[in-house]
Amino acid sequence: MIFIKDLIYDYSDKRALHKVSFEIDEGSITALVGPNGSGKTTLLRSMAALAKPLSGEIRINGFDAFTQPREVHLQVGYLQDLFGLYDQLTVIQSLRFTAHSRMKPGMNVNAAVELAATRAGINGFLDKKVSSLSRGMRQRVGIAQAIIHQPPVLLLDEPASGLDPEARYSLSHLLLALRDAGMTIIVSSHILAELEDYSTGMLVIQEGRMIEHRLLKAVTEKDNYLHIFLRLTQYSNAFIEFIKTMESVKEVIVTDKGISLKLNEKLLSSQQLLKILVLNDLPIVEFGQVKMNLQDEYIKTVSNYRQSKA
Amino acid sequence: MEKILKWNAEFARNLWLEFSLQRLVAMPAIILLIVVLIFTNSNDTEQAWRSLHYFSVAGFVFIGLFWGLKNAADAIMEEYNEKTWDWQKMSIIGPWKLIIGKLFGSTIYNWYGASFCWLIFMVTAIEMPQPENEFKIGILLIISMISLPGLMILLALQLLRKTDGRSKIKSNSIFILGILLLTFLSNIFGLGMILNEDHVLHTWYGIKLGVIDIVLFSSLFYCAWIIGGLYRSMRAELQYSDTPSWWMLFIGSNFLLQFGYFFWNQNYPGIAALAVVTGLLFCELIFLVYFLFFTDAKSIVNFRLLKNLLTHKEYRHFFKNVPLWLISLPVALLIGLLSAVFFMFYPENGKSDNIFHDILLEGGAKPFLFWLSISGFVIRDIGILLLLNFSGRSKRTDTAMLVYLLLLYVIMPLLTKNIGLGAAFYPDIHVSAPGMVIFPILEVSIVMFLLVKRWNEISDMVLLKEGNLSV
Repeated sequence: MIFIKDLIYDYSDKRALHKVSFEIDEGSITALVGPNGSGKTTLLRSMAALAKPLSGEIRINGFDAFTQPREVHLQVGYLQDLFGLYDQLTVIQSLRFTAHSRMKPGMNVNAAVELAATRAGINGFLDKKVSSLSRGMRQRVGIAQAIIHQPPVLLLDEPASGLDPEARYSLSHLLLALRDAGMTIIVSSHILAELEDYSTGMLVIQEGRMIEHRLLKAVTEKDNYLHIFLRLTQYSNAFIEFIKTMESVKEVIVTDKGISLKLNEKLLSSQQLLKILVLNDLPIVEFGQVKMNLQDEYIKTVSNYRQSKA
Repeated sequence: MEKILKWNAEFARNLWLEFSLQRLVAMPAIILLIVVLIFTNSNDTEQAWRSLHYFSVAGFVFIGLFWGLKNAADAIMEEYNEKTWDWQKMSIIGPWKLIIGKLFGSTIYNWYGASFCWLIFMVTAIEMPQPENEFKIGILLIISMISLPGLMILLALQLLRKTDGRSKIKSNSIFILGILLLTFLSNIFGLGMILNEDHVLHTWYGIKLGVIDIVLFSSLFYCAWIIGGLYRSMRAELQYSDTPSWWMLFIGSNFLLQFGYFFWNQNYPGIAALAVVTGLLFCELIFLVYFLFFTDAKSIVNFRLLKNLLTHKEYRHFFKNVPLWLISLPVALLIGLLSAVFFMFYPENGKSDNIFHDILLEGGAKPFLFWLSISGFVIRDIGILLLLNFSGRSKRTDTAMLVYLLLLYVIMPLLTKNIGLGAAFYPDIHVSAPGMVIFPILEVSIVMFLLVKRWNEISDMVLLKEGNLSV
């Protein structure tokens, strides 16, 4: 869906992107992470065909951003970090204007406006003036505007910044819903804890260089594996061997703190696993799903990069 | 409203913003009150009609032109400053529709108010001494209402090219105001000329025209080109890339328009017409080169891109990316060279009765040397501004360059006038032949040396950061 090759972007005395290359599959949510000034926004703007790189190749859903920028605009919904809205219009006017200016003739504008408003959760605010909305609500209106033409690719630059916890929670759900609806999403953010709720991949960018592109969850087998952590009152080889021999379990790692494993949900649910373990007299005192820690992964990647550079 | 939205979403958005019941009622109500005031305070009907006529012009200029110009400039600037311009750039609205939406949408309330004034102007024109001329002025007002706001949007689009996308445009609004004032004053001047010299006849390719017809015709011509320029600039903003064919067409048609006034004119026999018109065009193009150069982006990145395209022999892409000032400069110099040659063979009669009489009276090879001198100083100035831009330190390089130009063309010549070194800073036709060319050649050489040095330094810096990647 997204193909980037040898992308170079220059500012006057600084190379902002150094031969960046990566590919992103359809229906994925990729976290674009990196420190301030690492080139995230430049990369997103280049992908949205709003900025002209020096050289390289950008293909969005088959369209070349260099030679077909207008076609790329149709394929992409883009919400910049500091976006603006038409404050003097009402929310419904903003959405209707955006729909008419972004949708191809013949598409059902009313249905698109309703769908975008519902997805963004702004149905109850349609008659309010945009200037009267809170930061969170403005963010929702911005996202509604970005997705109103139902683009196959959605690029969000720091969408969660300035949002309250509740708004962040709804943003996660919205992104998952959009992903399920078939959109390919790239989200740049500093708040890694939220990205790990929904990201299927992680792109790490540092000083304009792509230092890591990691698949966090395979798009095709998403949610098949659960990371489980369990703690026992006592450990024995027999207990560990028992767990390892289970067909639905793989990658069993025993540490001082406990046992972590990956469970194939298709074969066995976590509830069934717990039941089996208890029935087999394993002295379990703690059992739960482990959320992958994107923050740790990111820090590890960045420190590896710094070490290799040194 | 749904139909307007479907036809032009940007125009519809402006209607939402500009029109409210209160505003719709307020405008005609205020104008009506002023009309009543004029009638009640006039001694007789004739005086009332005359006062009303002048009020309508003033009202049109204020509501339509002054206020309209501000709204037109804001139509782009506000979008950029308020970070909504990216939405527009990614919309499917084409360049023509976006221009209509911006040009007529942002000024729709001004059109509404100005139309009342215009109607009063046309009705009261019947009572004026020369109603026919007044009607022509009425048409001229309508053309101004399109071309001047169009020019503002064109300027705003031009200024967007040199923004970095993060900082707001502040100082340029003052600059725009200056341009606004200039255009307005030139309009007043034009009107004065029309009213005072309407009896004078001129010829354009043998067709006899009054001054007012010439102004009307020229305004229409430039209005059409402003719209054309808007179209091309808007296309560039929407990421379309075009070769500068329209720009060259504009230069060519401008030449043909001006040549018409000298062609078949007994005061400019034979080659004289060509000399004067190419001379005028050379001056205009040099002004345009400076103007475009100041208002365009001058980042080294653009030049690096152009160099890359040339290296890879991608000439079509090169011409799609080349800035207009850079394409205008060789054209200007070529036209200037032609002009110099024509001036060297200028017929003897009419030499003193000519706007270029200083050049003509010097004679000999002086026109050619003068051209060489002008070209040298123009290249020097461009080189200095590029040097300032490539330094990457100052954000106000254009302002710094204006100070340099003031130094080079005003202060330094005044200081060195007594020791006969004026020609060291600006082109002077009255100095000796060597003096005319030595200084510009020397200064261009120094600036070019520094420019190449700076280019290499920056390239080395990027290379150092990048490894072995070529720039």
